[in-house]
Amino acid sequence: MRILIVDDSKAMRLIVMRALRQAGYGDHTLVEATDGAEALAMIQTTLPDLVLSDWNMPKMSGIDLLRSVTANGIKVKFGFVTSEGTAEMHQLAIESGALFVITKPFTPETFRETLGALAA
Amino acid sequence: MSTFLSEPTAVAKLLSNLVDKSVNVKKLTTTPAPRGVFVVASYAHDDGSGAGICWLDMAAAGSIAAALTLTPVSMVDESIKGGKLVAPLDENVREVLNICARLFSPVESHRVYLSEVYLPPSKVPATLMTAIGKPQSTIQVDVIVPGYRPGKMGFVAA
Repeated sequence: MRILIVDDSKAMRLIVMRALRQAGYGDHTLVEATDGAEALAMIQTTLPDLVLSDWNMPKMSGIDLLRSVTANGIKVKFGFVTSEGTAEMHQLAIESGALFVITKPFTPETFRETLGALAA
Repeated sequence: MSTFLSEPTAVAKLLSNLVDKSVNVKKLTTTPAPRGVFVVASYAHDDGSGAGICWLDMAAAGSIAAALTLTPVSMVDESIKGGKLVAPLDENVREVLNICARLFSPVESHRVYLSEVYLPPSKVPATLMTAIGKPQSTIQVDVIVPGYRPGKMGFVAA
């Protein structure tokens, strides 16, 4: 599986990758983008199997990335990994086509359960 | 809007999850105003009103930030000596402080967000310094990240 991790924080991208490895996704291809615009370009070039995106980012936010992906007719599994934890934001994410929202801070178990449910 | 302050156990759990190490957090019985150089972050409720302040001395800020990306402890020592967080600790500590917004919110549904970060040598506004100096609605903790330097961290409710 090719997993695209989108976050403007290098530290957070590393943490997400560490959690994915600990959750058993270490042998999958993990690629990174630093904002929504870069992620959209990458998605259009090589379609990943899953996008894990932050919400607040410069240039293009996570929700705008998701809307752009949808508007372009791109079919990709999309989830948020964000510190934005309100019910309103979760609802907006799901209504916009996200499959899940993982709230920071998270544990490897969070990824194991969430991504495991997707595969089931 | 009143602010909730998390207990040290919640601080320990959050930091431990974040750095993937067992972080020891011990509440201090006294809450003197921090001395020397320190990092300050302010938080706000969704309506823009102040939610609280978090501060870390250079040892705590550098150590948590370094542990986040397995950065060598020598970078922490360099930061403490120079009075300024060296890269990538400066970026890392912002991520730590962003996630620490959770510590000011009693429930997940209530949004508290990171408003401003002041990294040395930036000047911290006088209003924040005044709030930090008051012992009311304040908790202070010793923070020990295994393999790094012990430091102090404080939380002030708005």
